[in-house]
Amino acid sequence: MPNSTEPLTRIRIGRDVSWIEPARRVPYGHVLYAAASLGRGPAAVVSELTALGFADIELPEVPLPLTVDPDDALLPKADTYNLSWLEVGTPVPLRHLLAAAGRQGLSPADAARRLTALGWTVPASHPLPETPDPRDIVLIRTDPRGNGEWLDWGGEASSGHVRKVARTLRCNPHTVATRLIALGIRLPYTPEPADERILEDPEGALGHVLTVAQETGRRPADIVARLSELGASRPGTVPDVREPDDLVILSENLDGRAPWLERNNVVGVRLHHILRAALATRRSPADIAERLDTLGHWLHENANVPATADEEDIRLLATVDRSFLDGVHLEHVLHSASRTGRSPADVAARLTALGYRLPDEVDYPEVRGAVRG
Amino acid sequence: MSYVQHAQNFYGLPVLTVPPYTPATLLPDAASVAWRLQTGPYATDEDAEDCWERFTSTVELEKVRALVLGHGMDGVSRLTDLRSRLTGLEALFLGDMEDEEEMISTIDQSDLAPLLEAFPGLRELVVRGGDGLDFPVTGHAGLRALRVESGGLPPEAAAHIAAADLPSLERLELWLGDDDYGGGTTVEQLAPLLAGDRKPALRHLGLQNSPIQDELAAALASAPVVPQLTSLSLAMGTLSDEGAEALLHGQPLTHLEELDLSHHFLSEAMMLRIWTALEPAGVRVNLRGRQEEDDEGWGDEDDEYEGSGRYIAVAE
Repeated sequence: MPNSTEPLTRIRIGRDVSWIEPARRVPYGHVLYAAASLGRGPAAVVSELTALGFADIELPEVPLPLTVDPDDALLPKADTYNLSWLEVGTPVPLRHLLAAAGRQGLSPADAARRLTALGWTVPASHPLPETPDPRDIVLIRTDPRGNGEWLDWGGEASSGHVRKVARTLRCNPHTVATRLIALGIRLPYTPEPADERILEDPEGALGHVLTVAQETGRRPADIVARLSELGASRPGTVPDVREPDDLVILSENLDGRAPWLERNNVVGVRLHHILRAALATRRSPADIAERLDTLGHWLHENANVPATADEEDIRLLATVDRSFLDGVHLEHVLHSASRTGRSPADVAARLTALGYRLPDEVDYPEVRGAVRG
Repeated sequence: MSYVQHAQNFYGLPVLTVPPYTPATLLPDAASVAWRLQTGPYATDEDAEDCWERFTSTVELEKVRALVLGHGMDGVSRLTDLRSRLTGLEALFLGDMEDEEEMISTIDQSDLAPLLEAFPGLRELVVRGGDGLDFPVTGHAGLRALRVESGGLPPEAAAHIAAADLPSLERLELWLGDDDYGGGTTVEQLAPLLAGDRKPALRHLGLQNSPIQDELAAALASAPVVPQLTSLSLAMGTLSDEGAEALLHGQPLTHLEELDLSHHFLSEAMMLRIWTALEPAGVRVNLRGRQEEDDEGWGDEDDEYEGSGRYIAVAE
């Protein structure tokens, strides 16, 4: 049998229940939600609860509102796993404000105004954003574990935090930085509009730096310096003088655009890329290797760079995913032979000539695979 | 390289993981991507219910063609509840999780019968994880591609897939897995599949990641299904010279375009025999991932669980 007092003392809110007992203090948030859900004024709810024996009812220092909007009544709901209400005498934490605003689809400024009108104190020291963004709550989370750790009013975020949040939200770090500033969070740098373009490449590849420098008329070294201020990844090498083919040979697809060649500090740049770049620019492979080395992409010392870039070598090397540090085994030779229509013996001989190490003592067959289609 | 990775592309579409709390105004057209839904591992991450609610209330579900469900997103009942709105759904990936999110052997799945019934327009289905999985023998009229990735596919589920009526199925890939993780499918349980029954459109068959790969190879050497195939995979398992020998002495395989034997335990001599027997006929043979037998295996000779010293690619 449902108790007749239940609409006041046990209220379902989604998956949770807000319930009170006479022996414990009644949260003001419960009063507001009871009023909103029953369509009564908070003062009437307080009177009824008092009559039911609830002696200790939390109330604000300001006069009670005459009515409460049901959505507004959810704003004091704390951002915790189990349902609880924010104490009215405690300043509203930034985490709580942003979680509540996000839940209700409100801007932080709007949520702050509504909470203030209900009697809470929102200790923002400067105007809050008027635009809603439910992602705000993620922006101030510095540690996701347990109950989480959160930036509070006037806190400071590191550049690493900005980048981490950007990765979580899959957005540009500049977007994160400008919103954090708008929320009153301090950063180790002042965001600039140009940062958005500078930070577009998370790897801070040299090709990206040179492109941005070209677009903006700034020196590549200045772009790298800005990346450094922003705590972002940046190339270790910046050429003093740019050559016309630099962007082409630094691009994966040899088109002078992203995706850019990723620097590999363990095994170096692929010989395959050098030969393709040589063919695309009509320069010698040795010339390309030398220039890429200057740009921070070195070729492993075991590599034997052919005098000219040959299409067959390029087709062969496209099938090789072993580095000059790895052994190229029978399985890899057979794979390349399958993909190129060359015999395993021919493949083994050519890879050996290009500097690869083939440790297996195998008589590679001369028979060729048939290439379909 | 791990075999168990997040899908980057699915059903010919780039996979877009829906970022937490992100409003629909920042998301692309519903039909332009394969939508990946997941939640993070922490209590402070966006709640799965909230993520699902936000996605379903803001994205035009009628235009969604492909869905990928990741960590925290139990699939079947959520999806069947939305059958009237997900009217364009053609491709589904259940359980797209990597090892650090959840080991493949502990990913829960369920009976797929309600799902297949709810989505007659489904063309491609990928399931990762076998725990609790079942598949209806009544099958599905339109499904063209089915892949079950598992460290231990329940034998009953494998048998039901083998027996299922799938008249449009062109590609079937089963990671059969290890007995210790719920696997144990026998050749006999796959008999209807090997016989070529109820899957007239089948062109690619993968019986993979199996500790009885040699037995499967021997069965395929004379299986009636093989002539209708253009590609065959016995990858990721414990294939040895014994199984390869059976393939070489069985029915012709030269009609195949591809034979994938990657992750194997073949000798170099056998690798060369297979390659020289099939490649000149135009069969592309994948012999990557040669494994060395572990000399000691595990257990001892008297132990009924004595290991062969050969291990499948994905188990736990």
